[in-house]
Amino acid sequence: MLFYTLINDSGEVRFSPAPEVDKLLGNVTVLNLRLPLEVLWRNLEEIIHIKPSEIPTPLEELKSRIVNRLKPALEKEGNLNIEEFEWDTPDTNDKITNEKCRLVLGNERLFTDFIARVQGRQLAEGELTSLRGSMHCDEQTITVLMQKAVLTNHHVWVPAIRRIKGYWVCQRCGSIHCQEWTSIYGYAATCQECKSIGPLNSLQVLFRCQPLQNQNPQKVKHHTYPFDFSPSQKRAAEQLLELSQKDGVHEILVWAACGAGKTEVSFPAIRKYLSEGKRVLFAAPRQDVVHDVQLRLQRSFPDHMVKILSGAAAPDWEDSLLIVATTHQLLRFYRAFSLVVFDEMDAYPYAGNKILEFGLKQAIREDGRLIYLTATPSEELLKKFGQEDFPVIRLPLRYHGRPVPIPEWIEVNFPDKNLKNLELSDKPYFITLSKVLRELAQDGPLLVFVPTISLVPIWTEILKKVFSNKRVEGSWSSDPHRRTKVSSFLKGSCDVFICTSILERGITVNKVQVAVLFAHHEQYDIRSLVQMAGRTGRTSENPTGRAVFFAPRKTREMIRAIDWIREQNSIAKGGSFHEE
Amino acid sequence: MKSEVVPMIKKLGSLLWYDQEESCLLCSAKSVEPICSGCREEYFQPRSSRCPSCGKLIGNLSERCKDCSSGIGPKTLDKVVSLGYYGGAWRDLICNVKYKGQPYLLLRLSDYMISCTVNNLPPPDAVVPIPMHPNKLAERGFNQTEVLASILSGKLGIQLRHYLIRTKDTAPQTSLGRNERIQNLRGVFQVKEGVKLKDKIIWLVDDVITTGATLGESAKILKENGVKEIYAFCLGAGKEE
Ligand SMILES: [Zn+2]
Ligand SMILES: [Zn+2]
Ligand SMILES: [Zn+2]
Repeated sequence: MLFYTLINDSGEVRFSPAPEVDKLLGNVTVLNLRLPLEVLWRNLEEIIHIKPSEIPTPLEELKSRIVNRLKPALEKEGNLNIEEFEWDTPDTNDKITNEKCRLVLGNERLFTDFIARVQGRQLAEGELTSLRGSMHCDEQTITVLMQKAVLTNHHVWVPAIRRIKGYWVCQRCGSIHCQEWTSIYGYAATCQECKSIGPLNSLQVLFRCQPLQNQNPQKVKHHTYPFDFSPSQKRAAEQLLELSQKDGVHEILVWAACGAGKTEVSFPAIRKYLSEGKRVLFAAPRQDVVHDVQLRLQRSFPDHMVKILSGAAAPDWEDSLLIVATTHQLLRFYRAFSLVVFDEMDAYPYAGNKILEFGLKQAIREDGRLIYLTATPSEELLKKFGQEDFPVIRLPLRYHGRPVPIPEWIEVNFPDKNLKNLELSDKPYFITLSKVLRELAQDGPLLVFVPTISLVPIWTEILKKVFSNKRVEGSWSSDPHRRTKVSSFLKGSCDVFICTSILERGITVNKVQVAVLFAHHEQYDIRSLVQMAGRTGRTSENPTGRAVFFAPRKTREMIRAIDWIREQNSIAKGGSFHEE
Repeated sequence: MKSEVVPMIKKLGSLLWYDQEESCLLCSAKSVEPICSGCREEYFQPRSSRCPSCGKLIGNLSERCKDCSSGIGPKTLDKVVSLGYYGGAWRDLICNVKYKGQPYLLLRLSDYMISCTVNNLPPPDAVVPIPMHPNKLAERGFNQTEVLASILSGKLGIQLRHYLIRTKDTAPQTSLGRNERIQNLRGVFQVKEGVKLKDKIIWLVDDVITTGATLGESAKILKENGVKEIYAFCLGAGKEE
């Protein structure tokens, strides 16, 4: 979207993609040159922020100051043929007729409908097509509505990516991981970090909307939950409900053992918010988990439509009180939610976390609350929580009351060189490995973790030989057949499943046994080791199982992971525990 | 201090490590080349011939595609080569470049573009991109055909020349049939004033060729102005079913 530069009677400079709207709503003079908002902001920064007392008079001087800044900048960097900078000349480019403009501006019902759809969001240009479709109106109409919202309702235009102190900074995700390229306006950049929800570049804008109003409180029928809380779950849920209403508490950490049923612990708090007409977002790191949680929430809140947002799919424009989304979807919202339940935030590497923190800050209302649910809180979370304003609720006992199986270490001297050739059957390490894997597979479906994507196909081939009479599959995050393969394992139609961290969290498979190959790899920290081991023994029918770390040596992370699980188990056994 | 920094470096390290696992532009499978061998096979179809008149992938059975044999293809081009079949992930990539502000992705295709052109076309005097209408160019901020032409120009040391200008904004060609497309393009292109085209050999560059109306019309104008031979290169073309 391109913007014109406008000056109003009092010498205030602003930018508009539809100056026709500005003209109808006030007296303005327009520079007949359309440019990306980022280019305008960067080059006219001083002029926009000029103090009212310092605005030059007559306006002619301001006009020439603007031209004097834009002209050399575009000539130096860009590749544009601008013959003349003209003010207030009629422009024939995509002109919105006065008649059309009046018609749209006069339609209050249309405007209300528009506001209802966009409140609480920050829209990228790529999302406008779908918005248009949902409102059955054309491009010009939407542009007029947007500009009206900017002029009358404090919505704002923001360049999608800005050049700040020599860095390109994405305004949607806060990342500086941007790819620079050359446009006709000079350098431009595309954000590489939030690409997965639709690439943004610096020639584009974000339309940042006003905070959402709460819906009217509604009497929610008190359905009983379609599951029973275990006693410790019940205690934690009550504690969480109380804290989530307490003044001065904005963030709460729920630290549970793997398989303790932490998701359900958040339901009473969620119910309370919904009954007050407040919007709730449940965010989880992986698509597989999101779909699973949506089902559980929908069963527990049958009066509400529990919406899913995931992947690059166009957003749904109907308002909804309860949304389940993959964490990156946070970036589509602005001051929208009163409660965000953030599942397994530590599933992200450090850099990913920064993006999500940024997204959280934007998506949550200023008076909103945040609940972290995790089995493996990061160092940063543990450091932050524990004081009165940042309470921790611990839930160390598994749902079925039995301890989490303690992982075993089995010494296996993996060769350092890559394993392209499969002639390993006679190697001593391989004999041990395959013997233990066969034992494990006798007790249930076998989940085999490897640290890198490239190891998945190699080990899938190897294990197909080891388990010639079993069904062996392998998958990784970007595998196009991932969904079908994963669901075939979850359904039990696959016996041995080799994967990267994709199944490290959030899944429950009856009787599953876990093998971590190359457990000494730097890819595995204490948290991922605890999570992988935590896949075992999750169901009441089969509360035991084995998790084996295969590695040439016992690393510090492995020792810490084993200690972590031991400690949780002993706290759980004690029945009571100190809140740190 | 140490305890904070070390895990962070470790994590960043592992991130880098993942980033470096290079992946195919089309299917994200691990691949040393920008496009993996499976996808090259599927979209570039190196053993399938191209219709010399319109660039369509035609297998090995005929010399020209059906349209061109029956005389309805473009007639002003001396030869057309296309890098791949415009469908599936190859089409998605071209669309991502055009509509999602990612022209830099084209740089990763340079080796394929070069072998496709130098192996199939005679050396030219200049490489000429199909121009975009100024309005559209203003919105998008770049012209993908110009990026393609500048890659060929830079890597092969051939002059990049903007001989053509586009004077009319046209309805998108995709919504139109063959005759409408030709109609739609009447008078759209002009040769820039004052350029000398006599006896020149030119490579015309476009991103996609479907009916060949756009390239055919540009070539017609150029030939009327004295150009001797015109060859065309594009990233994607149709396939004879
Ligand atoms: Zn971003
Ligand atoms: Zn591929
Ligand atoms: Zn043909």
